[in-house]
Amino acid sequence: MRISSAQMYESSLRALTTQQAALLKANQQVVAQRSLLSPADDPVAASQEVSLTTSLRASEQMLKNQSALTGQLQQGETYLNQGTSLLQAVQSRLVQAGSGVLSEADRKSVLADLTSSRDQLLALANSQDSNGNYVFSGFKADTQPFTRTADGVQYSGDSGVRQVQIAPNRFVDANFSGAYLFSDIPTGKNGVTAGAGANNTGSALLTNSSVVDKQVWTAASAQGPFKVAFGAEGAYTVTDGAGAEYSTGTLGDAGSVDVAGVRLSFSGAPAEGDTLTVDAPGTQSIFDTLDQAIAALSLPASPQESVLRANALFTLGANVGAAADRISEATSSLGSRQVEVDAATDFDTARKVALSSEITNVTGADIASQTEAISELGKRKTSVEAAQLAYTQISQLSIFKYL
Amino acid sequence: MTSSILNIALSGLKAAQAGLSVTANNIANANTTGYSRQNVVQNASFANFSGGGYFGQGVDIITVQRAYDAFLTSQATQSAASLSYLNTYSDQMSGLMNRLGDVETGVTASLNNLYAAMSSFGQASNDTASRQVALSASQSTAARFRSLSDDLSALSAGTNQKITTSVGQINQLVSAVASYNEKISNAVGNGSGHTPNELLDERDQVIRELGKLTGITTANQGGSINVYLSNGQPLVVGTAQSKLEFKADPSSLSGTSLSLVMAGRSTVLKESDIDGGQLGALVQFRDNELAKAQTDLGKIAISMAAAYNQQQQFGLDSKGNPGTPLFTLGTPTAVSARGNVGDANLSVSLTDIRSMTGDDYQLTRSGSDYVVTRLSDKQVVGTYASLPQEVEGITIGLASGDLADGDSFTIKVTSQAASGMQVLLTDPSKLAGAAPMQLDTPATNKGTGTVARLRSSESAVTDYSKSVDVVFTSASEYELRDSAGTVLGNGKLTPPQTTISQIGWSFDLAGAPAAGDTFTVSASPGDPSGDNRNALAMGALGTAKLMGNATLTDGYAAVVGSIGTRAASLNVSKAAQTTAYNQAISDEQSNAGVNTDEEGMNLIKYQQAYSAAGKILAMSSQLFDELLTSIR
Repeated sequence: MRISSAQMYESSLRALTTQQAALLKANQQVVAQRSLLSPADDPVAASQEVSLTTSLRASEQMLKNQSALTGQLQQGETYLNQGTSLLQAVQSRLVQAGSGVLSEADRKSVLADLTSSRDQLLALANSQDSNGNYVFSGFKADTQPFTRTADGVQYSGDSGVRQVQIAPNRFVDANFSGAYLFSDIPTGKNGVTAGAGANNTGSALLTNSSVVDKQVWTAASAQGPFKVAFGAEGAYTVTDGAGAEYSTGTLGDAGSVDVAGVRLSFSGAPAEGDTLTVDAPGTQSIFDTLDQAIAALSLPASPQESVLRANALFTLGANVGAAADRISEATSSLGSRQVEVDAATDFDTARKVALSSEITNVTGADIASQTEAISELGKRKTSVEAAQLAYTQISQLSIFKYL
Repeated sequence: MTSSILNIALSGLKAAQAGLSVTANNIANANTTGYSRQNVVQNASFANFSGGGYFGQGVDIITVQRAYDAFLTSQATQSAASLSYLNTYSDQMSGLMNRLGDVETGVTASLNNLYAAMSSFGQASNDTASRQVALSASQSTAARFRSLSDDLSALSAGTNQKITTSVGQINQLVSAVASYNEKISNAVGNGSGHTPNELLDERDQVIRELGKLTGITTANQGGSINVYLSNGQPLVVGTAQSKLEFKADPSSLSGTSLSLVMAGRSTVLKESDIDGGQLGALVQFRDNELAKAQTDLGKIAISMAAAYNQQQQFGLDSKGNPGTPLFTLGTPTAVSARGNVGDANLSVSLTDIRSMTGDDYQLTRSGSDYVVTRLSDKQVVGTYASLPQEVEGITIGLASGDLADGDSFTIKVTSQAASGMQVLLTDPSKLAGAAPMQLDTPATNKGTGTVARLRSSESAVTDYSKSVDVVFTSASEYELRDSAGTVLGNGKLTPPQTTISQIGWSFDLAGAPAAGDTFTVSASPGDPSGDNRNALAMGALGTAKLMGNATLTDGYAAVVGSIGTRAASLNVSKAAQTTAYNQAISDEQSNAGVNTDEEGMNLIKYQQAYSAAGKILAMSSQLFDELLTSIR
């Protein structure tokens, strides 16, 4: 084959250029610490990098949200624990006050304790966070949720609950509204509210109310409130909410009456004309309950008053118990939310590591790819030197040296 | 006898001299591009019969000939053209890829930041700082879209600049070919049929350069070479030449057009008419890759602006007022079709970004009707008796004049969207964090249907104060009932549709609801001070599939992937074509290139021939002297 002189130079030059381009690319890969320099190098990896980076940022954001939510849940738990201990104190005082005879000094001491607990609970319900937002006002963060008026404590918040996003399709409640925690508390116990007439003269003291026939009570509860009116010699008549006679009976030695599937137990004996009531639960604010307890304890102590007070406190004690139950329900709900957040945090922490390493792999920033790039750099350097040497050698060949 | 020897020696001297001269010329042009090595063609002179036989009369120089192989030359020209096309295309693609940026600087980074900022806004919707961060992130995302769109426009302008330069060079080379055709035919005439080798080489070289600029075919006609565009239209015929013209054209989608001016008549060239070479690569890159990138970017911008506006306009701002639009986009443009008869000028504007679908449209006058067709699926979206009309968020009206029957306009929406992306809000308190309604799924539902993204939909009437139950009467049919149970309307979900809408709001349904399942959209205006429901919904848009089955960043990843794939396949073709080109050039050079060693040997050969012929001359002179002496 005939070779032209220009062709010799051209091909040497081409070899040199090709090797230099490869050297530059290896150099860029080493400097940038990644093999993927342009989408054209590996289009699939390039588009994967975009998607994976977004997933990584999303996981990082979720971790931030989860950490913020954990802070809010812990803060919430502090408030709830405070509420629980306040209500426990109230409960033990009510038990003390409801146990019959109460000295005037004890009454005053209980009264003072209750008033103080009520005020502390009100302050707790009006707590503000570090930004000045009310914690228990639902969505109305700027509005003081509980205010005292002539008609008692009013709730001005709403029932909104703030949520936090902890996963692409998962939003978790971050707090509780004051309505749920303090206002809308079901009255009574075990689905029954029981009380004694305010003008009772006998010594009957309510000790328990329980549902003995759930079917009957479920069917009858809507007809309430049921009223048990005692006549002479233990005979009693039960009337329903509309005033119609529901059943009649005679009190035995048992110290209890059954009304529409509910058994009311009491100690002592009712006098003629005394009444007891049984109803389905309504809702009442814990503050109203406490106000009523304080009112009941405000009367000076006397044997007859103490029966009436004890019966009133029996009813109110059930309500305080329901409020304590609500708070403990909220506390356990916080616990289960925390478990979910922790699980999500574990997931996203692991996912973040996995995504980072996947990004490292697709972009060739991993050790193996980098080692490869560095050895490629060395190889290309040698190739460039070889091409340069070949050129200088070939260019010395000429017949004119001998002419 | 001696005079015959003298003559023979003389012809030998002349031939050796010619050989030396041609060799010297070859050595001198060893590095001249396009030069073909030459050699002297010589013949033994006609012999004289003289009694004892035919006696040779020396040597005749026939001509100087260049080493030329038409096949090898045309092959080299072809592969040079292909390589030039691929090189240009691939360079332009690199430019495009550089402008898209990497994951740390490109649109992806902005979208991710927006997602993070909106999500933080969801956590602290009444915190001014987090609102400000969300608003700033929106602004910087809009700015990123704008600047990327500007970059692409600049790339387009740069490409047009290169096209202008190419067209200028093409016109120059075209006149060069025509003038060489003329010079060569003159030279052949003057040189009594001898070929002017240098002129032929130069013309071949000019045609090769022309081929690098645009796809051409050639044909020999006598001594002339005729040059045609790849669609067959003539650039040079003999000494007659045409001219390419590149100028602004309001009737072209790219805003410019190329035309061929031939004998005063101008013809507009289509993209397919200019295939190959640098010009073909530039035009195809601009009209395919660049326009697609601009359109794809616009589609992402539209999906994003529509989704965020739907959510923002659903919610309530810090003062409890309904949210106002967050993003706006570039105004669409109308391009009148070539050959429109009417004098219409359209005015097109964006009316409601929430209902934009990321499509382009065509408006055609058919009889007395105005027909609007979606370009992506060729579906007629509306037939109207008058203009202006609103079509999928875009209002099309007449600025002046009217369309004649058959006239049409292309409404370019997507390519313009990103360039005008702006954040309309300046006050962070205007971000709508609170929601006027709430979406509830009763625990008693039996199906797997889940609902999300309760948002505003385009509607003049919005009523967020009435609760509505969406009750499924079968797996796909549903009734909308008010709180009293009165049926307000009904609908049927046909895949892939997943959106359920009613007066001013809509939501997405995923999974399969069972008959009897209910979803409730209840009026529940939140207090802006603490309600973060709408802010949460805005935060969740970052991972929502806003583009059919893809999130915004997935959409962008697809753009990067498709451009990368195209560039990768061009790189492969380029590598293959480089090898082919090198081979073709090498083949051509093998035949036509100058080898200085070879010429050095020729030099010795001709020098020795010259010396030998000179010796004969000396000897014949000596013979003559001897003859004279013997006679004396």
